Amino acid sequence: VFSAPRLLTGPESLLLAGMAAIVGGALAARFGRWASPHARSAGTIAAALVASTLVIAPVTAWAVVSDTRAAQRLSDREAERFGPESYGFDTSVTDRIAALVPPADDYRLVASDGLEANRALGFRLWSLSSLLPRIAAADPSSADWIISWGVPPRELGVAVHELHVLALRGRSQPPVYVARVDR
Amino acid sequence: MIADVLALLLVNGLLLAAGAGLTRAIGVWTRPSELQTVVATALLVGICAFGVVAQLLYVVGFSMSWGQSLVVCAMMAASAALARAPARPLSKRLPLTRVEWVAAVALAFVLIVLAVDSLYQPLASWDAWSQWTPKAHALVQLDGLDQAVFGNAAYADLHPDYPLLIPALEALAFRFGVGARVVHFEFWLLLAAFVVSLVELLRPRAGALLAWSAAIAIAWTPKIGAEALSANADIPLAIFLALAGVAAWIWLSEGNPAALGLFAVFGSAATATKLEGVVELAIVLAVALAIALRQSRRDALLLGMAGALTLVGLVPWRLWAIVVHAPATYSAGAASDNLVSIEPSRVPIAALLLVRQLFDPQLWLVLVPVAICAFVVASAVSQRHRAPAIAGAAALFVAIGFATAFLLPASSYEWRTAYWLLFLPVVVAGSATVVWFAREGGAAAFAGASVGGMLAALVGIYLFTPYDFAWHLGTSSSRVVVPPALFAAVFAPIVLAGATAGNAGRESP
Repeated sequence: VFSAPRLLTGPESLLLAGMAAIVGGALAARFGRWASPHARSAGTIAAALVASTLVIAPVTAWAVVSDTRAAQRLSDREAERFGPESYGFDTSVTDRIAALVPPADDYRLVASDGLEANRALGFRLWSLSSLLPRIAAADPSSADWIISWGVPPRELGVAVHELHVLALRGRSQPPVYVARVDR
Repeated sequence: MIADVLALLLVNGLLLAAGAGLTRAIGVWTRPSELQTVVATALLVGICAFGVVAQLLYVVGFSMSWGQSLVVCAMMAASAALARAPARPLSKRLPLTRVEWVAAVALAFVLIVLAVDSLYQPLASWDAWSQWTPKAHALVQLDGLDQAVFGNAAYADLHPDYPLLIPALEALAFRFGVGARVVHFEFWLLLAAFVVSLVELLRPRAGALLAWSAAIAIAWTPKIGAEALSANADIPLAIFLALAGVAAWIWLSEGNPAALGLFAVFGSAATATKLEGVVELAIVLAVALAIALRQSRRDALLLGMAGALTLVGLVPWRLWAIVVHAPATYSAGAASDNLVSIEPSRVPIAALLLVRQLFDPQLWLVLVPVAICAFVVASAVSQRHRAPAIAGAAALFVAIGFATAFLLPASSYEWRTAYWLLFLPVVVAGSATVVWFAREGGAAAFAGASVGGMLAALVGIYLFTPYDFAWHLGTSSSRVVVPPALFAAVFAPIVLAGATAGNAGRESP
């Protein structure tokens, strides 16, 4: 029965590659036909390099094949959103925000201080990119919309209307608020 | 997916045509049959030149639509007509021996496996999904370099002041309908072109055995494949720096003007890829200039002029960033603040973590130690009376490198007294090794001093980082060691061949 080899640990890699380098180099030095001692030195190192690489090649190839098998299960949509999703941000919420905020409007982006730092940063980065051509306002006070994760707009001291509360996948996460700023 | 791949191949066909024209213009080849011997190098030249020119054209207001991109590639291809001076081709058409065919199969196998993997890769790496690809999307969606994003403090997290080569390349692919997932295939193409280019450039100089050995070892190194498929900028930077180094060395050792042209192209690409590329290229150039000055003022002057050309894409971009007040990662104010609150303890921990990454056998196998071995052999050949000392220092450095890889936790950012036992010997042995390599005076001096300088510069960057030290070190130290490691691996066959030829009458193993 075929079973996949597990990936090698650091000591195992060193042992295999190091032993192969020594054996490969020694064989090249002993049995290679070299024009001079200098050529033998160079040939020995080349043989050591190739031997150390090729002895681990099956494991390296298997690691790449395993990665391919795991990656090909993802749809194109999942693959493009893998980064922020892996940090726990539900990216489908930005699709719903894009449906609410017209492309020509700008917005202010806020994340609660209570959110885990990388998750909040993931929300910021993904929103800034995926909401284009909507532009994040350089001057937050002039923004047409406010988009905040975990902070109701009233707590930010901004008068708004058209308030939308967007729930995220997984009940444990606070909602994202989308609202048009009063003018 | 098939349509995406075909579109990306079409894009690279255009870049190859551009590169073929440019390499003809700078004298890399003269007859069409000679182009076959440098076709991978030509593709890389096309990619680099397009990225640098695109950065320049974005700054002056072009949108780099598919039509404009087509015109740029066509003009580069037409530059072949500018070739005037009789040129010395950089490569030779040598028939492959039976052993070389086996080597080619070993190389092709890993490249094919990686190619398939690249087509399914998710956009998982932090820098790729949070910075490089979003900026490419912004260039396409806003039809050019729009201040609303690139000069807007609200987009500071996207690092708008970072150079544009990678976003420009991805934007070109997006313009031709390639999806964000298949864009990983472009990074695979860069890696494949690089290893073939190594064979093209090193085989006539270092001999078939050394050239193929280096190419196979690099392509099969787990870290190289993983980084190439991450769609980060570190592998492109490492490739451009290594090729700039090779081109500089060909100029120094052969005086071939075509190599100067290649240095300018690959060097400008390095400065247009990542901010540390500017520092690292400056180190490579400074070392090359020091060697050139020993040879002749003319060699140094021409190399200096090629070095000045590498700033062609960078300077307008930096000026634009300053004029539009693009949020700066490394601002002058932040630098002065960091100088005041400098923490010297960052130096040893950053140095040890970089060494730890370099010697991690899971990532690099024994590529780095074997490359050091090559340098030791070359130095020992030319400095026989110092051979035991050189070998001893290098052996100590490698031993401590492995000890660091196994003893130091990957996320150890706090200094501990016991670390002195690793840091002091690694600094002494490493410095002694680099100094002895430098005394050897040939390729070992060039590569040894360049790699030592790059590592010192990286420690300096961590010392003055405006980011949280632990976060910066933890998220980047495994990636930033790629350029110096690749540089050392690429120069190992050159160093060995130089030592062999210099002491045994121009023979190659």
